[in-house]
Amino acid sequence: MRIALVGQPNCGKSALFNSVAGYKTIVSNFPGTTVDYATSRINLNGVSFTLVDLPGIYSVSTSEREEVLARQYLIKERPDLVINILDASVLSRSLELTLELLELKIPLVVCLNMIDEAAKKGVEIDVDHLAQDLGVPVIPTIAVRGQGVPELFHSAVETAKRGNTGTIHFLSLDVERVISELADLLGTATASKLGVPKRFLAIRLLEQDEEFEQAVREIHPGIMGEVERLRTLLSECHGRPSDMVVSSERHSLAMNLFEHVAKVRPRGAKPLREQIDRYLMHPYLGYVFLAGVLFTFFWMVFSLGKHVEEPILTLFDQAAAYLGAHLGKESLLFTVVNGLIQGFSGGIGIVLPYLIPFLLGLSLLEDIGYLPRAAFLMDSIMHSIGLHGKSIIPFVLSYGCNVPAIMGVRILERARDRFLTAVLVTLIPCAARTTIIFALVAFYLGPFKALLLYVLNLVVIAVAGKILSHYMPDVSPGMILEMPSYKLPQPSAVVRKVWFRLREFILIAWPILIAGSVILSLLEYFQLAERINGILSLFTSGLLGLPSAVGITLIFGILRKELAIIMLVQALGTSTFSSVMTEEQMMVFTVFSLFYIPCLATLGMLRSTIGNRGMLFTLCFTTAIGALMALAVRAFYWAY
Amino acid sequence: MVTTLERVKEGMSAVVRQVYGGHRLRQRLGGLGIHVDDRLKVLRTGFLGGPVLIAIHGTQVGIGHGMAKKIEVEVIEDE
Repeated sequence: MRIALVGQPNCGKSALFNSVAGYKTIVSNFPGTTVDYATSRINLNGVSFTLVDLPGIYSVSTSEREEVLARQYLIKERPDLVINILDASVLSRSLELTLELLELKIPLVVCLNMIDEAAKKGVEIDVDHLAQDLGVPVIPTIAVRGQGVPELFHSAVETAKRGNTGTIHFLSLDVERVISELADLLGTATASKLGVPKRFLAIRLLEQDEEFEQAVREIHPGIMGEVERLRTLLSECHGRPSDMVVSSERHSLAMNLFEHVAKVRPRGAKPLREQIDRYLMHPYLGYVFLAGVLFTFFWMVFSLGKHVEEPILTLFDQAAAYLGAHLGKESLLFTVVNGLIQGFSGGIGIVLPYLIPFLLGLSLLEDIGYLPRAAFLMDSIMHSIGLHGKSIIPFVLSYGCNVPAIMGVRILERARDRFLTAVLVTLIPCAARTTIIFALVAFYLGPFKALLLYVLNLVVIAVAGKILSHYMPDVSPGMILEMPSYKLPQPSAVVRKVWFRLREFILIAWPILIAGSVILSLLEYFQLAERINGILSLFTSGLLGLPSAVGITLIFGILRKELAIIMLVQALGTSTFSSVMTEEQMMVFTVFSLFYIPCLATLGMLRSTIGNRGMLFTLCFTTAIGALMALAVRAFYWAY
Repeated sequence: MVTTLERVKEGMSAVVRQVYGGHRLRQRLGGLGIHVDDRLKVLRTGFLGGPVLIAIHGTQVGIGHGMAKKIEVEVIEDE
């Protein structure tokens, strides 16, 4: 038996899933996308079933990709039962989705979640009455505390066996006439080819649903003229577009249902959220607080992380030295083992000190409900480069390390925003690239020129953002974002989220890091440095005017960015760079290192977040920017 | 007084009269329970082209400046 959880964002759907799902939860992607959903085998009182946690949807009528995918799952995979989770504290709005789901005629159980929040707001709901009106069981729950959850699943299993699909609610008479005329014209045959009831299909077409319109056009091309005629009929009678007629009707139906089953008592005291938001969303204080949050977060992750990273890396270096002494420093075996150790320790050095605290912090901010507020505050600034307000979090954290920053793009709902943010954060100088800027530019050419590089970097990111968003325009109408109420995070949910995200790094990014590290060791073993410098010299010395010995350092910089500077010492045979490099060469080298190919761990993370093609694109895009900017610096020095 | 949402002063209530955006904007607003004739309260106005924060149907929604311009509302004067 398969049971799907469907609900609007912030309804407590994930809390419900987490309260029953075991550690065997599988996170999978919808075919051909990076949008994921979780499934888990559940055993409850001797009954076992598969529970599917779909992305949150506000409405069945949607063009948002994630929401369309969730809808497609319901129609194509047809679960045995849907549990529709409602935030009881915003009941009237939530019921609009319930009314749409009833049209699908899939067995349904309504979970009236956050019943305590509703009570706090002074909303009292007559549960039996609501169940009667909807024709399906309604179970009140407080999912974060597990209250009502056993009853919910018990009822779900029973309802699935009985196949109870609830009561269809009719709109006003003239709208119903149009719906039934269209439903009859479409016929059961067309509808069942699409896996939906004909009434549902008729409503979708009247609501100008692009996906269904296209599907119907393919099966039944002649009918679109009739669809147009009926749409016009509706809009002429009501003086507004047909989709608006239907959705407004459903809206008032939901409001009527709400008034029928709920009593609202006025409350004296202002709710806590309003008091908190007076400061956190204040036009000036809000930004002070946001800056404080970002700074604290950054500081916690990176300054604490450094203290943990150093001893770990020392430990592995000692292990490598010990093995080197035993296996013979020059042996092929040691070369491979050393490469493995380097890659392995590189992973540990990222995971333990940085990723875990970062993911913990991010999950906390997410679960408390602060992220939408940050997005609200940053919306106009981030939008000017085509991004979402929430992107500010990965952006700031990227100055520490790109890997957690890319993991952080998961907080963005839409694939386009995730892609753009992931590509752009790789351009931000992380701690390792900062080392290069400091060691070469700040040390030899002065802090002012180093600062100039940071400014240049921001300009490049803004321009790159503009260019990318020109080719990937934002199809959504802009920010429309619900501010959920603040919640106390549940430790188990936070830990689970951290683990799922971490698992992805371990399984996808880490192997790339280890393999790359072994390959580089072998390059060294077979003394291919000269050969590589020769191959790259056309680019490094020909185009960029750098000493050809830097070729190999740039290759090592792909493994770990700080290696570029460490290897530079080795390649040039001196750590006094000013004695072998001109000012121009130092600037060109730094600027190129600042932008070109992200490090292997970052590439691995990109692959798991935006896919292979996204990773390859980033690789080419950043290299092109690096070369272009390095050439610009060269031209600048040539001109002055 | 009829105006667009981004011009409503903080703390004022208003009723949605028209949505001038396309089908997608209507869909998105509809999903959040925002329809014509609904009553809302403006909690924060977006200064410098920032978004507007409204309270509606017991929840709060941030609406981008560009979107807010497409929502025509009637301000409820006396309260």
